[in-house]
Amino acid sequence: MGVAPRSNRALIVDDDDDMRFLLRVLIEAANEGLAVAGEARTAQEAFEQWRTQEPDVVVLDNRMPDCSGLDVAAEMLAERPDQSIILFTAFLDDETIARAEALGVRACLSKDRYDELPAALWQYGPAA
Amino acid sequence: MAVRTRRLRSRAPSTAISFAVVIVLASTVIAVLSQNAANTHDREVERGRAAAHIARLGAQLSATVAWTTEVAADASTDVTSIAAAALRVTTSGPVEAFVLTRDGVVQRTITASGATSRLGDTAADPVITAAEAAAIADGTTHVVAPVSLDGAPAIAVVGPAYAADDKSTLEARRASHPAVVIGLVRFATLRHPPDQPTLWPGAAVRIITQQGTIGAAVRHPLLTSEVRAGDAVWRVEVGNAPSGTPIVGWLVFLTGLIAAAAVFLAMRRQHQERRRAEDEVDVRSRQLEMIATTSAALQQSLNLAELLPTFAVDVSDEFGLASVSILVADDHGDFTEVFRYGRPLRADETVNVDLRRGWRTVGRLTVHSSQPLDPVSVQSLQAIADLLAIAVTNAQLYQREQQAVARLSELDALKNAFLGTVSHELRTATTAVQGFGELLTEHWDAMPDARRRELASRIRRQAGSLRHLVDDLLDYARLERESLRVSPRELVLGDIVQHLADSFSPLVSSHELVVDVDPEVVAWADPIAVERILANLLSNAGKYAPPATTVTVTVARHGDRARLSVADEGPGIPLEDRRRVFVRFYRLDNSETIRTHGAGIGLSILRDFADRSGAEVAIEDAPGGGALIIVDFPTAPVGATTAEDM
Repeated sequence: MGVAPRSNRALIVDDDDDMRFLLRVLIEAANEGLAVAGEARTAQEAFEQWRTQEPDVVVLDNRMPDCSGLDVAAEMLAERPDQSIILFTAFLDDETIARAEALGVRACLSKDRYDELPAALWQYGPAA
Repeated sequence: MAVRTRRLRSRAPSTAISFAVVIVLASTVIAVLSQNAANTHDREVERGRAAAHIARLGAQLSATVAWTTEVAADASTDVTSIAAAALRVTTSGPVEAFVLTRDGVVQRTITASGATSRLGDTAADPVITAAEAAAIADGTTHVVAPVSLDGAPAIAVVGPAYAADDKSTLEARRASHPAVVIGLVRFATLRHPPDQPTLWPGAAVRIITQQGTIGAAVRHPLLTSEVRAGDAVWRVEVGNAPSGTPIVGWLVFLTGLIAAAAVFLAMRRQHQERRRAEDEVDVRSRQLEMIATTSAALQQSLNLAELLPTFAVDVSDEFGLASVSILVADDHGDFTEVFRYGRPLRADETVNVDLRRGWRTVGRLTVHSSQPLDPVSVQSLQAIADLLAIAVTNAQLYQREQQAVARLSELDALKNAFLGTVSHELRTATTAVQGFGELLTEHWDAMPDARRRELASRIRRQAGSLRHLVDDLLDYARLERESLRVSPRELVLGDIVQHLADSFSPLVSSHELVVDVDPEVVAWADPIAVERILANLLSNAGKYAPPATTVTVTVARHGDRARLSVADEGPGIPLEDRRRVFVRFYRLDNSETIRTHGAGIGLSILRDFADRSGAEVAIEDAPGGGALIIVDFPTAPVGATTAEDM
């Protein structure tokens, strides 16, 4: 992993309030440079936050009200191919993982493995 | 569609013509032959008759001359004696009249009948006058012809009457002759003496005298001879008159011609009848052929839109119809026209043939024809209609099957979506509960009280969501098994709703919940059903109404009903979706309203509970523009079905 960066700012995109709150608390509890750059409950809010906050990592739920997380990821990566994105979703199947990899999503993490998120943020965050 | 067979037509008209020509030729040959035979036969016979006729004519002439000479010889100066002799001759002989003249003046006319009107004119004839002079001069009888007697050709026999002793010399005769006796005989009387055989029909006799010719012209005289007429010699010709040609040949020819015409007409009529019969057989054959090909064609597709145009055009062509209409019966037995070919006229005959399938009428075939349809054609149409009925029934069954398959496919897709949503809901809720629990456990001491309370509150809310989700799934399972029962009873709706609204407040935790109940309202309902209905009403409002908006629960009396309603300030439910939202797994597919929470079965469960409770459900627009879902409970038992058949 090399030398840890001085900061790693994550944008949390999920339509469920409790999930966003859980991830925020987890990231804050992990400390050591991890921070929440912003929260979004819809794709539209996600793009607004993404462009203004310029997060290091985007934690992206796949099931959202206005479109899918993969659609959001495709658009972000088309605009910034080096953007680090972690697909954080409740239901991961092989097809979803294959599509995510094809798009350039760095990692796919099931929601029941929420405790692995801080490590994943370090792993797939900005290079040292 | 139909395979046409070519039929060889009979050649009867040309055959009839050939027969007629043969008959005409044969009759011509027969006519010529018979004509020749007749001619040959006639010439021999006629020559004999002609000879006899000329002989009779000569004899008559001689007799006439003799009688006249006799009358003249018996005459004397006594006119009375001449008249007596003349009367004797005119009564028994051919001489029709005697004229006694003297010095060219008629002295007396003697006839048997007493007719004298034209005899005076005859006596003045210049031919007779010349004969008188000659007779007086030579003292002999002279015969002259033709003269005219009543307009008909005649001969005159002129004999001088002398006294017996006074005719020795010319001078004496001239001086003493008392008169001239002129005997008049019609040529026809002379030619055809009574009781004597006559010539053949069309025969002609011409007598050539020194004074002229008597009789019509003779074509190809059969016999020419001479007869003596007193001191004259006449030439007589006997033959056929120009117009009197023997007609045996012509009769045969004409008979042949008529026979040929009759044969031709008979054969033509026979041919026409046969051709008509052949045409009918041909039409029937083609109709049978069409029934066969129609049967095959109607089985080639289950799509009426493909079958009917071809079918209608073929039927119209085969039966010469003005129009063909196909009507299909709906579930109520009403006919709807699904295809029409051609345009019927007011004067056309209309034939309706029902399309029957067993006892059921599945449609109707209506045809219009400018010509009346014969019974056989109607029978053929019935046969075709029976085939069409099978095709229509099969197409309808296929269509219904396709619709059922489409519905099942749609339901399958909805179920898959439902499973995905439920999985997401469960995973999210359990993850949140587990995550918050772990945070509390691992960071309890370092965590401020406010954060601990917040986490605990979130755990409670997620647990409530989980419970509601599980309740919905259990209700759904019971409804699928038809094992859900409700036991309505009288209850105070306001109290129970007030109590339940408090416990369900986590379902609208992001909203302001307003509960407005009339404590006097009593409903006839099962408290479990009321709970499940209210839970789903609030859950629905919580999902679709934006956070921080107001959700209002109301209980009020509405007519003879107890009304429970929930209004929100969300986007509302479009009019066209208000029936579909109660369909299981259905969720509003609208970018502004779609939410990831919920399994899509809440409103369908609500509807099932309401139906089983005898309650009516309606969706209206809330005053603020959101959705207003109304459930009207009965206030008393509604029949025996409310609690018994659940």
